[in-house]
Amino acid sequence: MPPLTLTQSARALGVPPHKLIHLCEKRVVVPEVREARGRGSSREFSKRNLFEFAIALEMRRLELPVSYVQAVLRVFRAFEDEAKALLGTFALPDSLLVADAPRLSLVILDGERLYFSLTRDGEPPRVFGGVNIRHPRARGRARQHQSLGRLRPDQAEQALRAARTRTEVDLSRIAQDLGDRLPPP
Amino acid sequence: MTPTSSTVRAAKPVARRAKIPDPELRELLAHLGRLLAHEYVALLAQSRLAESAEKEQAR
Repeated sequence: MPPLTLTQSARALGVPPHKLIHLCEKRVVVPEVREARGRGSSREFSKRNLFEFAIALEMRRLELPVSYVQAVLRVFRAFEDEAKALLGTFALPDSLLVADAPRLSLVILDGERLYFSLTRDGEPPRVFGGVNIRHPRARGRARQHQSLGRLRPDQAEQALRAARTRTEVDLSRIAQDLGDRLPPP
Repeated sequence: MTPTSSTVRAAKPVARRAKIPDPELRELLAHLGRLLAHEYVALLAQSRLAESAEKEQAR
C-alpha cells in the first residue's frame, strides 16, 4: 500500500485530521514513512500506523487515557516483533486477518488492569496479562503490577466476574474494518 | 581542516514514540507482547494442522 498523507489517513479512518495530529504530537503514533519537518513537508503514514491510529481512536472514544493507548501499542510492537521472529514474516494489521487466525481482543478490567484474550471459534478465550496501568500520576506502592502470564480458565473467569467494569476492544475487528476501508493495493 | 567526529554536525534525530516513564511497566508490557505472540503462533499452527488433518481424512 502506498503511504498515506494525514488527510488521506483521516478520511480512511473517518475522523477529522486534528485527532490524528493530536496523537502524533503526543508521540503515541509516529509516522513510519515521513515525519513533518516544517513548511513544505507533511507526515506520511504506513498501514501499520493506520492500525495504530484506529486502535488509539477507539480507545480514546471510550475515554481511556493516552497512557493506556501507549501501553497497548507497546504490547503490540513486542507482539509483532516476536511473531515475526517466530514465523519469518508477520506484519500488523494484515497478519491478524489470515485464515484460521485467532481473534485478538483487549480487555481492561476496572479501568486499570490490562489483559489480552485470544479466541478461536468454539473454544473458551485464552486470557493473558493483568498489568496494572493506572494513571502515571500514581507512584510507588500505589502501582502494583500483578504477575503476568496466561491465566488458567478458572482464574480468567474469576478475574472477569470480580471486575466491576469491563472494557473490551476487538482488535481483530478493527484490523478487518481498516482493511475494508483502505483502497486495495 | 579535515572534519573530525566532533566537528561533523549530528543529523536531526528521527521522531521517537513517547517513552512509558515506568521502566518496570515498559518491560512488563514488552513481555506480555512476546507471550501473546508465542500463544498466537501456537494457536495458528494448531488450526492449520487440524485443517490439514481434516483435508487428509476427506480424501
